[in-house]
Amino acid sequence: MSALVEIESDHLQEEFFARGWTDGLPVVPPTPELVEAMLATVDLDAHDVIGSIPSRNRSATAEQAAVNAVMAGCRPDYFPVVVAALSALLDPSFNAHAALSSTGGAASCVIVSGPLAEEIGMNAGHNALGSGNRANATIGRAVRLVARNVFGAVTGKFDATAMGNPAKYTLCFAEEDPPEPWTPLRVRLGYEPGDTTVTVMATEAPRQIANHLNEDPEGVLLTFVSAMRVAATFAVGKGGQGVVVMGPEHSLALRQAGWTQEQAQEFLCREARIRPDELEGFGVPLEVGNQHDMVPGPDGRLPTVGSPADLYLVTAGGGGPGWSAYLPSFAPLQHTRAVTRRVRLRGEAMPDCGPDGCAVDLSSFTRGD
Amino acid sequence: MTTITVHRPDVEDPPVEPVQLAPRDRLPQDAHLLLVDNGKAKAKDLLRYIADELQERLPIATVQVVSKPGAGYVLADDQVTELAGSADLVIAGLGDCGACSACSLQDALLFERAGVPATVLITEVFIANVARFADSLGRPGYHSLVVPHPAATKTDEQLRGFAAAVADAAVEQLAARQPAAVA
Repeated sequence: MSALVEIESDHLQEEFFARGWTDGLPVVPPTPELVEAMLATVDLDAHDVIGSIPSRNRSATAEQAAVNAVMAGCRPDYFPVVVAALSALLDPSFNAHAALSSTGGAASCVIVSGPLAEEIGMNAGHNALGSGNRANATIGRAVRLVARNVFGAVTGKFDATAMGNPAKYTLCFAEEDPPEPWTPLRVRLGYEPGDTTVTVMATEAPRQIANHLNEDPEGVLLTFVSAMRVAATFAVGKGGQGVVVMGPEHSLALRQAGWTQEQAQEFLCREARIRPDELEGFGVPLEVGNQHDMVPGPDGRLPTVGSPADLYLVTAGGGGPGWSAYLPSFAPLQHTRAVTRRVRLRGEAMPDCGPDGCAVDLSSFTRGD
Repeated sequence: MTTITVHRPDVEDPPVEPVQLAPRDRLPQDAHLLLVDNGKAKAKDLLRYIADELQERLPIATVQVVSKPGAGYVLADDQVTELAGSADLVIAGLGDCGACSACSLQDALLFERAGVPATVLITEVFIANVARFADSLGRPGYHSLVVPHPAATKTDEQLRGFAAAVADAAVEQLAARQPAAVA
C-alpha cells in the first residue's frame, strides 16, 4: 500500500509542488476515500501490478495508478481507461524505459476507440486534441503523473528530454466512429465493435494539417504527406509510426471517392517515403552501418513510416473548412511501437479461451515419483 | 490547524541488490575485449579506436564487436551470459542520448554482475543522467569513459583523439583494482 501522509490543508498544494509530485499544475488531493472510489471501478486489488519497467526496477500498482488518477482530476469511471493506457504503455514493445528517458521528449498519445469513450464523456469532435474536456484532459494527465511519480520521468531524475512539448502534460482523445464502410480503429486492430480499446504511442506533439480547397482524395492526402515527410522529424528516413487524425471533411472526401482506410494508409506510406537528397538538402546526413541503416529501397527512397499498418488512421475532430492532424512517433520502429489494450470493466467476465485454451485434463498426468 | 490525510503518489526507491564489480586482477595474457556497440552514429568507430589504444596498454589478443539492433534496449540476460563466457573486458557505448546512455550503462553493469570487468562510454552531457541510473541500478558512482559531446559529428582523426584521451582511464577502470561496492 502506498504511504499515507498528513498535510496541513491550507498548504496542501504548495506541499505537493515542493515535493515534486505534480506536473506544475495544481492537483486533487488523493485522499483514501477518493482512491478507493477509483479502485472500485476495476477488478484489481490495490497491490495488483499493472506493469513494470524492469530496467528501473519499478512497477505500477493499481493503487499508485489510482492515486495519480485522482490527482489528475479523473472521475472514477475514467479509471478503467487509465489502467488500459498504463498497461499499453508498460508493454515491452512500447519501450517505456526509452520513451520516458529519451532526449526526444516523447508525449504519450492515448487514443480511445469504442463506446465507453462516449459513455464517460470523452471528446472526439471539435477541439478533440485541445483543452476543455475533463475526460480527455485528465486521463492523459494521469498517465503522465504515473510516469513521473512512479517511474521517475522527471527532469533531473530519469527524463533527459531536451526540449519537451505541451503534449507531455496530457495527450488523449477519442475516436469518432467513422460512417460505413469505414471501420473504427479498434475493429481494424482485430477487436469487436462493442469493445473499447486504448492505443498508446510515444509521439511528438500534434502538427495541424490544413487543406480547405480540395476534395480530390490524392490531393487531400498529399497535403498530409507534406506534414509527414519532414526532414526535421527524427524517424523520417529511418521508418517510424504515426497517428493520422483525420477530420470530417478530409475523411468524407476519401469516402466519397470510394477510398478505404487501408488504401489511404498505403498511399500515405508510399508517398511519404523520402529521397536521400531531400534529407541531405535539409542538412540531415544519412546514417549507414549503424542502428539506423538508411539505405534506400528499390524506389530510391527511405521510409517515413515502416509500413501502412504503422499509420494509425483515426477519425476525429469537428467540422470546418478542412482540418486534420498528424503525430509522428518520437523515434524509429526499432525503439518503440504503439500498443493497444482492451478496456475491462469491473465484474466483466474473463474471455472464453476456447475448447482447448484453458481446459487441462489432469487425469492425463501421472505422478513421477 | 486542519490537516488532510493523502496517499503519497510517488514511490520510494526500491531496494536494489548492490552490484559487485568483477575482479580486476585476472586479466589473461591473451585477453578478449568485447565492444558492445549500441548502434549510435560513430559508436562503433570510437569503440574500435579505444580498443586500438587499449591493445597498446593491455595484453588484449582479440577484439569482438557486438552491435545491438537499437540503442534504447538493454542486452538480454541470456546474451550477456553467452558473451560473458568468452569476454575478459567489456566497453559499452556510445551513450550520447538519454535512453541510450541508460541502456549502455546497464549493459556494462550486467557484465559486472556476470564477473567481467566493464565500463560505459558516454558523452559529457550525460554524466548526471548516467549517475542517476547507476544509483538506481545498485552501483552508485559507477565509472565511465567520458568524451566531449557530440561525438557523432566528429572526424576519424578527432575520434582517435577522443580515444587516446580516455585510454588511460579505460585501463584504470577495466584493469586496476577497484574499491568495494557502496552499500
